[in-house]
Amino acid sequence: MDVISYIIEPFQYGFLLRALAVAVIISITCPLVGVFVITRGYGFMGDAMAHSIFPGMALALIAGLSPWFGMLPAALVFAFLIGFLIRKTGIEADAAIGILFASLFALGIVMISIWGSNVNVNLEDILLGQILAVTESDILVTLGVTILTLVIFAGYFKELVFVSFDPVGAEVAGIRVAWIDYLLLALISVVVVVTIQAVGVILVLAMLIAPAAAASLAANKIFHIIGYGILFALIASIAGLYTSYYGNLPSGASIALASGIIFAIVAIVRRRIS
Amino acid sequence: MTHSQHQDHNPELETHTSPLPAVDAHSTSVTYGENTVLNDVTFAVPSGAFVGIVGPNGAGKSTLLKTLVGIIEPSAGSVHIYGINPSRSRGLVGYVPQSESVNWVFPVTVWDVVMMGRTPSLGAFRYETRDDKHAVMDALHRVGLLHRKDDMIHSLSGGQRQRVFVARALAQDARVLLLDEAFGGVDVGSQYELVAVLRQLCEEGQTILLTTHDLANMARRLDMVLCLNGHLCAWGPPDEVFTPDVLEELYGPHVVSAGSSYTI
Repeated sequence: MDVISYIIEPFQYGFLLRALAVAVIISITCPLVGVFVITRGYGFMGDAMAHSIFPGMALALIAGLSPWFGMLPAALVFAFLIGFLIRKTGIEADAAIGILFASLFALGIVMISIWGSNVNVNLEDILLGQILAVTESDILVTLGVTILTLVIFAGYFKELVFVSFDPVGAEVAGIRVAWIDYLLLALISVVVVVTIQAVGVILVLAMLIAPAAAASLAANKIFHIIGYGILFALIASIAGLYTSYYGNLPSGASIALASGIIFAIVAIVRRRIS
Repeated sequence: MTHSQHQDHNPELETHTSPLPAVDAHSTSVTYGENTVLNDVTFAVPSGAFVGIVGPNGAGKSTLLKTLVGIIEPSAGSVHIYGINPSRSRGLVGYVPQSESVNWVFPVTVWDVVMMGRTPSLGAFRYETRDDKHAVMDALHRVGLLHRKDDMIHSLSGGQRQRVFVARALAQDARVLLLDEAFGGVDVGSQYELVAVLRQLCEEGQTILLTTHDLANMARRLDMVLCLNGHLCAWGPPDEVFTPDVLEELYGPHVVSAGSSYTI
C-alpha cells in the first residue's frame, strides 16, 4: 500500500470523517480559551468543569435524551458556581471546587451504575471519549456552539485580555470585571463540553492545556500563541485519529497522548535552542 | 471615553487653565463593613501638582486612590476630579495599579498594554482607528519607550513597566494620573528615570498623585506630600510636612531618630 492510500484509507469511512470534523473544530477552540486557562491558572478549574458536567450528562442519557441537553446547562451552571467560589472565598476556592468536583463526578458514576444498564450507556466512552461515534447532529451542535463561542470571543477579546492582564486597571477603565470573568468561565465550560466528545471527561485537559502550553513555549505574542496552539492541536488530533485507526487503540487516549508528546517535543526543542 | 466625551459632561472643562482643583476631597470617609479605612480626609490638589501620598501599610493609601477613580464610593463626604464626580470622570483619571495586582505572565506586548487605555473608546468589535494608534504612539514617545513597543511587557524592567502604564493613562487622555506603589519593584536608578518622566508630565499640565513607602528618595522631588494614617496627618510642601511629630504619628517613635538624620 503506498503512502497516499495509507493516508486516505481511513477517511473512506463516514464515522472517521465525522470524527475528523469534530477534531478540527475542537483544535480551533481549545487553544483559544487554552491561552487564558494557562495564563490565569485555571487548569484545575477546567478539569473540575469537565468532571462536574458528568452528572448532567448522565441524567440526559438516562432520560433517553441527547447528552447535549444535560451537558450544556450543567456546564453553564458550574461556570457560574466556580466563578462565584473564586470571587467569594479567595484561597479557599481550591478546596471548595475540589470537593464539588469530586462529589459530582462520583454522583455521575453512581447514577450511571444504577440506571445506565437500562439505556445502554458505556461508562468508558463517557470518561475516555468516543469521537468515532459522533453523529451528524453532534457535528451540527458542535459547529453551532463553536460559532457562537467564537463570535462572543471576538466581540469581547479586548476586554478578556484587559481583565486577565490587569483586573484593577480594567475596573478603573469602566469594564465590568466580574461579568467578563463569568463570561470567560462560561466560554471555557462550553469548549470543555465540546471537547468531552473527543477525549472524554478525564482527558479534557490534554486538549485544553497541552497545545496552548506548547504554543506558549514556541511563541510570545497572544495571536501567535493561539495560532501555534491550533496547529499543535490539529496535529495531535489527526495523529491521534490515525494511531487509533491503524493501531486499533482508543481514540480519546490516542489524541491525548499525541498532544502530550507534542508538548514534550516542543519543550525539548525549545530547551535545545535557548 | 475620549477627550471629547468628557467634554460632553462638562463643556466648560479646560483642565490646563481650570480654576478648579484637579483633585478635591472634602471630609471623605470610607468604611468597609465596620472598619473605617479613611476618616474625614480633606485636601485639594491644584492642577499640575506632583503629589506623594505616604503612610504605613493599611493607612488607606490605596483606598484613597480607588475612591478618586470611582471604584470605591465614599461612605461620607465627597471627592471631585476637576469638579466632576469620579463615577462620571473615568476618562479623566489614569490609574497605574500596584505591580502585584497585574498578571505579568499574560502574553501582551507594550503596544497592547498602552492600547488598553483606548479600550473604552474603541468601537464595535474594538476596531482600532488611526486616532487610537496615533494616541498610543504619542503616549509611548512621551515616556521614552516607543522603541520597545513590540516587546513583551514581561521582558521590561520594573521601572519601564511603570512607564508603560503611565503611557496607557496618557493614551486614555487622562489629566490626572494616580500611581499605586509607584516604586514597588523598581530599582533606584530606574526610580530616577520614572520620576523624571513624571516631573516632565507635570510641567506639561498633568496632575500626578502617587503612593510610596520611599520617603528618603522621593521627598525633595515632590511639590506636595499627603501623610495618611487612616486620617490626614499632614498635607503641604515636603519641608513643612516631614517634621518629627508627623513622622512619629505615621510610623511610630522608632522612625523619628532615622527621620531626624534624613535631609529634605
